[in-house]
Amino acid sequence: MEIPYEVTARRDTGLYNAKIGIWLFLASEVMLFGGLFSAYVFLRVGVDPAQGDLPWPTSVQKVWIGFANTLVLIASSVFVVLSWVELKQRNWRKFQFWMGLVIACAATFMVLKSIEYKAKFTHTGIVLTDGSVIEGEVIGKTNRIEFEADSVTVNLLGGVPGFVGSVYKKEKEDGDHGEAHGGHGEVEWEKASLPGFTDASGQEVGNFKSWFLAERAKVKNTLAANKRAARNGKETVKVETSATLKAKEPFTVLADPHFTVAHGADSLAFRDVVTLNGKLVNDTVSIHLHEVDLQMVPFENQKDAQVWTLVNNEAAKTEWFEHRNHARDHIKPYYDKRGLDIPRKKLQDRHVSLQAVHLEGEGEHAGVIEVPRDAIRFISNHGPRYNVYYAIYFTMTGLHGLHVLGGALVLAYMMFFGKKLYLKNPEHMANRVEVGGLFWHFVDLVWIFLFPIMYLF
Amino acid sequence: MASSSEDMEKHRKQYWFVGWLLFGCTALTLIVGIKQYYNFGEIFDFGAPGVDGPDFAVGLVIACIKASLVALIFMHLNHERGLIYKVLLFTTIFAVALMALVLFAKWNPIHEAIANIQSQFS
Amino acid sequence: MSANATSAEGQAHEGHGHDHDHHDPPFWRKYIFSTDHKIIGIQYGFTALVFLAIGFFLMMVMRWSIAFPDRPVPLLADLPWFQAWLDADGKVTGELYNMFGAMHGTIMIFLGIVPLAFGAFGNYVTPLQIGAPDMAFPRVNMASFWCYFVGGTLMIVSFFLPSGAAKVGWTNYSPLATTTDQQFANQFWTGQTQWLFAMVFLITSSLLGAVNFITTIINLRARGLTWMRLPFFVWAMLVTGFLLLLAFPPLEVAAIMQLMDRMFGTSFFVPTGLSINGIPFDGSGGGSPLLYQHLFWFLGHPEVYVLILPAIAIVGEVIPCHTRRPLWGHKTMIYAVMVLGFLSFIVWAHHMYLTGMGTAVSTFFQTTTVLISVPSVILVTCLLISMWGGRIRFNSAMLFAVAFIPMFGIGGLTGLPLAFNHIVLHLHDTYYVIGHFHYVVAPGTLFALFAGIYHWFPKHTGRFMSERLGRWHFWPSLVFMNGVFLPMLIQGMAGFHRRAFDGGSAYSQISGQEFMGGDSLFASIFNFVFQRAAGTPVELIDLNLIMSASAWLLAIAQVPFIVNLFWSILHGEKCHSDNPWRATTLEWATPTPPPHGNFIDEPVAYRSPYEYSVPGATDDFTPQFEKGADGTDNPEPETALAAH
Ligand code: HEM
Ligand SMILES: [Cu+2]
Repeated sequence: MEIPYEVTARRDTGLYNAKIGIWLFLASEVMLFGGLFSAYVFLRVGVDPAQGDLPWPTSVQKVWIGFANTLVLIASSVFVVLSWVELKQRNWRKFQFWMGLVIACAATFMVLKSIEYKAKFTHTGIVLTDGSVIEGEVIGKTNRIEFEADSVTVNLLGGVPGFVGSVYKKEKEDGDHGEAHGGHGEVEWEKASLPGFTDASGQEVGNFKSWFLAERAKVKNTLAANKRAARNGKETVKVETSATLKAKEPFTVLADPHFTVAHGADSLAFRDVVTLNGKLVNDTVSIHLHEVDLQMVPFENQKDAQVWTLVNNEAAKTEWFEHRNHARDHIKPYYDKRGLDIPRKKLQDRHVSLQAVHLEGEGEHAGVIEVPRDAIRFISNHGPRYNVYYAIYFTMTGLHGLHVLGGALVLAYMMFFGKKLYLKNPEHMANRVEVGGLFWHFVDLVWIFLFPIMYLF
Repeated sequence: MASSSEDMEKHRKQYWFVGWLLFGCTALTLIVGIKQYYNFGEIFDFGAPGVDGPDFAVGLVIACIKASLVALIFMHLNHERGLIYKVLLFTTIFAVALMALVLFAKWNPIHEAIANIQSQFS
Repeated sequence: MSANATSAEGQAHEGHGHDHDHHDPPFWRKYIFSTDHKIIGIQYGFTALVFLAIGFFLMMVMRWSIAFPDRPVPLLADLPWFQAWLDADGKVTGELYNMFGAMHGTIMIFLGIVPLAFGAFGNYVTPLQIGAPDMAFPRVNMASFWCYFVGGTLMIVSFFLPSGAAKVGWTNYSPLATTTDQQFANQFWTGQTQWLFAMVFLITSSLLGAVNFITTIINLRARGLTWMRLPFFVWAMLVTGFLLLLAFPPLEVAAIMQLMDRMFGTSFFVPTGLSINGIPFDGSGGGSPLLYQHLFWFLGHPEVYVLILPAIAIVGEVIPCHTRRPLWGHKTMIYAVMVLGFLSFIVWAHHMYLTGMGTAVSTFFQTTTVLISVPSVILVTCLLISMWGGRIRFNSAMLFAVAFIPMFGIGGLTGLPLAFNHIVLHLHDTYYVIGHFHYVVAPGTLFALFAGIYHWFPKHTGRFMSERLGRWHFWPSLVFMNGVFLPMLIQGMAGFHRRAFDGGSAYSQISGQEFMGGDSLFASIFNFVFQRAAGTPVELIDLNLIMSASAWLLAIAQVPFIVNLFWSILHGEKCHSDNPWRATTLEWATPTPPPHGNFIDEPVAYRSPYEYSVPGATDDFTPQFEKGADGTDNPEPETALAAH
């Protein structure tokens, strides 16, 4: 059985099947990216610093990467149509040549993209409680809570505890400067590397998980029996719904604060209502300071921003304000000429209110400041979590990147394995390239919009 | 689409031409977009210094021009069938409706009016 | 046409030669990873029926909790899975109710009705009706089914995760959906996350399907089958395809963004300053829950037309055939369905009147919502008028099709008030809404789907379904459907809130209002049936008993159908021709069952699709594929689309 109009166009519609198919698919892609662009606009318009939102960060990207990628994609678009022209003229070799360039462009694009992504993941921002922001590079794993535990309390009515298994056990201390490095070996409850536990009655606990499940079943049964007893007027038994296990020897964890709900000097509680008891070892974040960003602090109050007490360095502070005033003076002539004051929005603008800070210092600790956890409102690297801008940036460019990858794979397949079909039915092959090319151009077209909205404005 | 050799030669030239045009447009966007008041003075400064509405608008207009070039020439929409146009027309309508209505839903003229009146009395 | 026309059962057919050179593909290629639209249609159909049964089962448990919130669930309490979710006494917990409610909605809509209506009927019937050998992209078709299958499987698997399945309603609103299940260390394997993953698969499935359907209908129509000669069914499928194609992507966006929120801690849908149980949300904030709602309902509303259009389409085929009358206003219906498809994209925010949306936009959406009722009413009216003066065969297919009209009518008319935001102030999130849309989808769409099964069953099996069992299926179903959903409207207007696991008993002010005095006839029957002391007045909350009892009886009423479906495959009354209903559309021109490639001779359409009881004709029907004697026959396709 053969499907009609696979290669040749139908007379009344003037189209072959795949052509209709790809355009329909592109229509749905328009809606997909349309939804994303709508989300972008909605989020951007919705940012309201008066409500405590972070201002929409503009020009935080390395523009040259976006620019280069735009050129690369445009070039690849030209190459795709050229390869199609060659196929139409039945030049297989030349088709392969142009298509090869397309694939090379796609690879370049991905490489540039990954450079850009990587820089963001290694850059951290700390929002302090008054809204001033410290940007820089966190030293080691100090953005985690270091805690030495000697016992653990679990909720026997809750789910199976899991977070303690997902935090890092502290590795051997580095002799040189006493920082916690690495933390690769993931700790799991079942793992022998954790100390064993004993329960309240001094009994040894073998496998933690099975112990937990058995205990939980017991408690639930007792509770049920109690209810029945209560109905029948019989006596009920007292039930402990939480249990504490003692560790045979103290053990240290580095807990991701994202997974904890509360902690104090002697306890650390995770989201799954598991609490470690012991002592807090280190709860300050050491960060190599690059920039201070005071967009969220009113211009007049920036001198008293919380960040300066942490930086605690008059020279650096003075320098920062010099830079800031310099930036302000740069934009002043524009408004002077029109007889206007500089609008507040411009004063608080990132170009003015974000400046680098240079801390003098010696050795490893040059430029490092210590930020206590309770001064922090929010901490994250500049990954998608950092704020809605980064979230939509990563989502849109990530999805776009997936499209590039998918398109490149399909085109590469045609280039390497299309010969057979080409020999059998060259027109069919040309159609395929046309259809693949349509997809590729669409991906380029999306990027044409992503470049200005993500990188420039 | 006609596919005689001559036509193809014409296409080839056209594609290169459009490619260079797109390069040029990209450079223009870049100049409008980056911090002009440090580098270029006010020639490319459509609004106030820094990121500003008019700059953004100009940047988007250029992007739209580029996008139409890609769609019309590279994607052959300039001589495509009516059917495809119909599909794309409706798609565009719905995409625009999504973006616009979602935005307008935030906008409340009556409440604004009431707030205005209230502010006059307080 | 290809010669590979061997039918599955090896039934020989007169009038066409077999080509024995072709070897049948191996079993798994032919029935499991098949690319044949008919097999795929049947795969869709059976999978969807299984999911419908699961959704039905969830609902029966929910109805127990509503009717008897203080009594343990019978039968289930000792099953291992339920032990973890029922409370110590074996009663349904709020958590379990939420889970079942959310999954009932999700399964019924995305895994039951849509795959059955669009996937099964669309796949099986559309290519046959347009005289195509298969779908335009058979392998894409197969991929579409398997995406659906994977998505469905993930949904079911999520029940067995430690977190249980999703619990935040089928709408999965953020920020609740974002923060639920966050206590689990493995965020990937939680019900909420898996719901999103499964949705991405289901959306992909629908998109692939939609591309395929539209291309097929545009490009593979038989010779002579011009746009206005297409049966209404095909038109409805075309519009449905566009709804899926353009409405689903924004939901995919929403799903991806919610996934980011859950897995990577972004704040797309989390506002600044959110705190849960007094603990501040650990995220940047700055997002908007309303954005989720917009993206969701941009799909959500067209989706309800995806549920109903195929139903109307099926009824539109069944009624002309069994009344022996042309479909009244075929053209009008086509235009109506196009207008309806267009408008359905710009009414979505009528689900969001209470979100503090601006008045101007609210007015816009009220207007469009009222407007969209016009084409809907046109469709139903045309169906109704089509029966006028016909010689109606009241067989099972027709019974369900006829019942569809008033049931869908109730659903539609109860929806009209919901178009106005001042009324929604009162009715939002009450059982009135539940009653309204269930009238549309349950006795509405489901009945139409049953009609379709009874109607097209002979095409594939060469046998009729049992009429007697069909009646045993129909009448109790009709009665109990109304038993379930009519009281919902009453309760809802009194203010019963939806998603209440105790059926409203916590709100005794509302639920304890008297519905019928103790001396009324209604009360005496009620008290007798439910063995209560005579003279007890019936309170509004007591209606729960009627609804729940009806729901379980409704389940029993489906038994004859299930028996019928399997029994008739082997033992049903044999059809003596390929066109046993004496119908006019092209699907009846194929052998029974249609072989791979469908048609033996190239099908040509000579006339419009519903030529029943044409004055002067020798028979009471003239099939589309029958060449007439007079000069009006025109097999040439019109060049409707700009030829270049
Ligand atoms: C046939 C008999 C059916 C019965 C008796 C039934 C019953 C129910 C009940 C009791 C609820 C829960 C109401 C609440 O607690 O708020 C519900 C919710 C729902 N049902 Fe059905 N249902 C049936 C069929 C269907 C079908 C065929 C669909 C298909 C589309 C469907 C879609 C839904 C949806 C979307 C919800 C809302 C879930 C939510 O609150 O998130 N139902 N149904
Ligand atoms: Cu709606």
